[in-house]
Amino acid sequence: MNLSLLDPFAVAKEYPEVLTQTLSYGHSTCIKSTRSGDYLASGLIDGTIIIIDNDTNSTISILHDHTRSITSLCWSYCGRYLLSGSRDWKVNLWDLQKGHVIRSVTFEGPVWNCTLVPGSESPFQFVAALLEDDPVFVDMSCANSIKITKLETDPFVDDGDRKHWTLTCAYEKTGRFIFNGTSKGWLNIIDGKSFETVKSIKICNSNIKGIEFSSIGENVAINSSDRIIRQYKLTIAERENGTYKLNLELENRYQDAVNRLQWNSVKFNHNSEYLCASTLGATHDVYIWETGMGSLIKILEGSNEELIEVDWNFRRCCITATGMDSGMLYNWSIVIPQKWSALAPDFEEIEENIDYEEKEDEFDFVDYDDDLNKIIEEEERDIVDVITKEKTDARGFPFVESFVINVSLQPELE
Amino acid sequence: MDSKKLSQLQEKYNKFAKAPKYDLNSEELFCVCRRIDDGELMVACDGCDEWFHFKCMKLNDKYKNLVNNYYCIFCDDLFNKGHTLWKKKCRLPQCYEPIQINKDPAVLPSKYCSEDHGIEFMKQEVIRRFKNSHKEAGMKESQLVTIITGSENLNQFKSLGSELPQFDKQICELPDDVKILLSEIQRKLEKQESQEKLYRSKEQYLMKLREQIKLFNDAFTAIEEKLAGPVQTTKSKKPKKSSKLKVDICGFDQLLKLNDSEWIEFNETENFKRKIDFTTLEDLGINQEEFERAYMALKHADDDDNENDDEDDQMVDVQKDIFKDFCMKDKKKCVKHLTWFSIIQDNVRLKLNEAEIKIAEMKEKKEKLMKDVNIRNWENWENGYS
Amino acid sequence: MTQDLSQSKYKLRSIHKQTQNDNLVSTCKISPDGKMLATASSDKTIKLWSITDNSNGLKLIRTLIGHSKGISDISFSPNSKYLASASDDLTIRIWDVEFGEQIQILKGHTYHINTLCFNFKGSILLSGSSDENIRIWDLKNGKCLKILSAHSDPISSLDFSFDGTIIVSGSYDGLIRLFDLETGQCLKTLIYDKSGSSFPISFVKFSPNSKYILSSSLDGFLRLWDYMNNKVVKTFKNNDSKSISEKYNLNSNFITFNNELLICSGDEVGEILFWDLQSKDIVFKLIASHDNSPIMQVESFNDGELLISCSLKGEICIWDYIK
Repeated sequence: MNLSLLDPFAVAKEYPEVLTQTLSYGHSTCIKSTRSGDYLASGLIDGTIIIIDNDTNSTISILHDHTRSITSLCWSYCGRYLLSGSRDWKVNLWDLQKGHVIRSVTFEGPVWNCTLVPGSESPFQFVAALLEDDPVFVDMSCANSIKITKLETDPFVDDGDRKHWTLTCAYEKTGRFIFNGTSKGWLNIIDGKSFETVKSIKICNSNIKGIEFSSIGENVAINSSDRIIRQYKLTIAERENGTYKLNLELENRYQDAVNRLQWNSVKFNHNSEYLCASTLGATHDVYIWETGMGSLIKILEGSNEELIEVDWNFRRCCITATGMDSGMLYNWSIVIPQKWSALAPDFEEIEENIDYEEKEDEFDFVDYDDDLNKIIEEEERDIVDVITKEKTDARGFPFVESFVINVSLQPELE
Repeated sequence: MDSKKLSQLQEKYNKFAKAPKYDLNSEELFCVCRRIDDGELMVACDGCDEWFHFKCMKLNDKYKNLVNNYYCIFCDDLFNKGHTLWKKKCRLPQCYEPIQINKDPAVLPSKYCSEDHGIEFMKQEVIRRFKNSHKEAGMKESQLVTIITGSENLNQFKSLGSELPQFDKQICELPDDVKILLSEIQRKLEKQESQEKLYRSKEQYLMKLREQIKLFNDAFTAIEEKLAGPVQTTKSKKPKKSSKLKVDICGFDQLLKLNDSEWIEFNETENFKRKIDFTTLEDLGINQEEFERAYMALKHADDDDNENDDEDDQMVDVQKDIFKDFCMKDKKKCVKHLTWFSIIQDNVRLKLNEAEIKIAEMKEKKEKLMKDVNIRNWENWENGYS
Repeated sequence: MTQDLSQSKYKLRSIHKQTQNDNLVSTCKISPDGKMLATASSDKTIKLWSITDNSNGLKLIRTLIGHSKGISDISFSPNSKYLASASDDLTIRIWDVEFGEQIQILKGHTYHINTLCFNFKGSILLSGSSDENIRIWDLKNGKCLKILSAHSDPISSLDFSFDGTIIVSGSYDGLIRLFDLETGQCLKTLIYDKSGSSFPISFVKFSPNSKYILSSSLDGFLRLWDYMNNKVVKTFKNNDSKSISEKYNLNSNFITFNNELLICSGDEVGEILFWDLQSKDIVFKLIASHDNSPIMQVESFNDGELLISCSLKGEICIWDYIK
């Protein structure tokens, strides 16, 4: 609600510009913010997960269960459940209301990547990519019988006998399809219900490091080891016989030909007009491109170490990145200058000097007392609505009922 | 001392020194007043061996037993031969005896001239303090006497008041909400305790597993050494390994992947009991010959997939039985299972730690709850009483 | 134009008078889960009562002792587990309600603390003090995050908007200021000085949709402000030129239960007044004190299903909504 009272030009900015703070809570390897932008989950190198409240920028919850570094985090839609995958071979589902793990699956090797099925009310289904093994789809709805389904790594179109592994997996935003990227540059598209490979596309010749979908729109960004981020437009058409026809159209390629920078992690903004990525190499910055034309818009500077993971918090218009050497969190956001006209009711900020002309009755002495009551009666006739709340804030984000994590003020037992 | 007083003292001394030592009746004269000894209290100076009256030296007669060393004003202030030293007085206000001396330096010096005075002092002190605190505490003298005589020894008396006594005036039923909370806590406690048991058994199994793998490794190495011996058999098509004959398998046990409920089931099986408690291969139910054959089959399976299928099938079956749960890849080459032992061990330790903490927490909560109920019972009884 | 004043919408459930007569009660608050009532008084203690359905109304659970001077304001955290209390001994203490233990002491203010407000998440506590500052506290760490020093007189009242982003503060200097929680900047200032000078503001509160602010000032009126347009859209007054409050900081509430749209406030002679929001008429009155002492707090649960009022002399009345 405060956004409607702030400077509209500052509020309407699409991307952050200034490094505003650095937070240091252990050595962070993975970060994710909730859909409502209230909390940031940060996975540390020793396996602890800390939940940071964005209002106070302090930790409100510490989750201990993993013993090795966290490789991926995923929030559920409502913000109550958190899925964490780690190098200690486990994937845990945390319930933040109770503060502990409610489901846990142990695999046979480190977990690269795990994602919950988006848009689903139940947080018990997820897809995970494992080291030197086939990716799996897991259904944990029933605590006693956990169903694991293996997904194919080999592409639909047989490309010869080369051995390759799936490195990363992501869900398309409606949850119908799973996109897996392999170490030889193939993208496997798997149906989310039947778990059969529907289509395989060769994207490039090197590892596919990351697949990002935008939350609105049909853009996909694929980050690969050949230092290029490819942006595709995904169209899904439903045929009459119930099958789908998927089409990926290459729209843009982002690369830094001059410095030959590797991109670490890629994120879209909420309406997919902008794309940000952190770099591995000589520079310690975050690059922001505009996706329409593919042009570089901004380079976020200020960090003095390489940045690994990036997270774009849409509601607060702030980008957070983790540092590689120290594991600190760098926050870039918008700085809104104080509006001095707010300090007195009749101040008004004007662009240039105005020559004031007095009115005729400026200094007339009028006896107000009797008239005051009449004036009040006149002005206060209208019907006032004090109940209906606004649907969206000034940036256009709807007010959502998101899960509030209980803050326990008792000192934690060590 | 300033010069004026000093010069006055010097004059006084001169007068004193010149004064006659004996009077007209040939009796000795003492002190600055130059009188004979008529029984009045006198003190000898340790510096000049002269005697002085207490009264002339302006000392109170009561202090007569408290003099340790006395130096008269001349020896003290004028000649600086020494300083008057008094003995420590007995703590009892009206007693002017010196304190009891104890030869043993380790024991703290006494504060009283005698044991009786010590007791007397304490009695007076207790009464004095009791009278002062009486207004606040509202306790009657008789109550104090009961408390003191009621405690058997000093420690028991000291420990009075460290804890709120258990309510025993009436039989009080636990209120319903407390009962519910207590059963809840009990349930959680039991759950945690069973978790603890589970993880302890896992830890034990892990340790034994390590031993088992070592045993296997040693056995494999022995087989290799036998093979690499003087006879180069034709069966062994494997290219000769260099001097590194030592076999080190990865050894990840599939059974470690079982989840909690399955593990509890596994605890009951024969297999588990065997694995927990073994020293040789025979204990594990493995025959030496079968073992060797299975190992050879394994090596062949590694070498080539196509040759001698039939023969190998049999051996492969045996291999399947003995080594089915284990990952038999070379430890250095097995990337997937790298450092599996420490990962699983760390996990088990973390869970054990967690269970212990939770158990302590539950116990503390239970105690707090019972304390609260106790306090409330006392409060209600007091309100009803008054 | 007034309606029949006997059309009361509330029925008295029980009255609870306090036993010691020289003790003054400053406020009472209902816990968000509706099970407990807490009262704070000048004898430096806070009493926790459980609200029962029978005619006794209240049962004393425990007394919280710890402050060294009288207590001005208390507030429950949104999860009903913690209680914050502000006192003249310059400290704010956070209590655990279950066992009555003191968990934290927040020190920082340099004069009496008058008012407290939790945000809806329970992670931030606001405090307004007579040292003219508003402090924003991070409860998890017990630290002060920001100090807002924009007033020139004691702060009397604070409130949060429903999404926890805007803070409204009312002060004795006659100003109502709106602050942004994230940056701490002042967003807007409202002042009523049509009659020449401005009167101290004793109470401010956001409407349920946080588009309007209800303020009570010591000139005896209640005003509903539309802050986006800097306008007073409704003025509520007591009948017969009496004032609502001229000395004490009495609070007011929006009653929206069962599709009602009323404003209620206690006054200084022992009555609770109810106005219709749109027509500004006094719809009915409740007598909440037998010795005409000011009604310091009228607390509503579930938007008006249950009302609990407490007077300065310590008389607590529980009212049920009649359907």
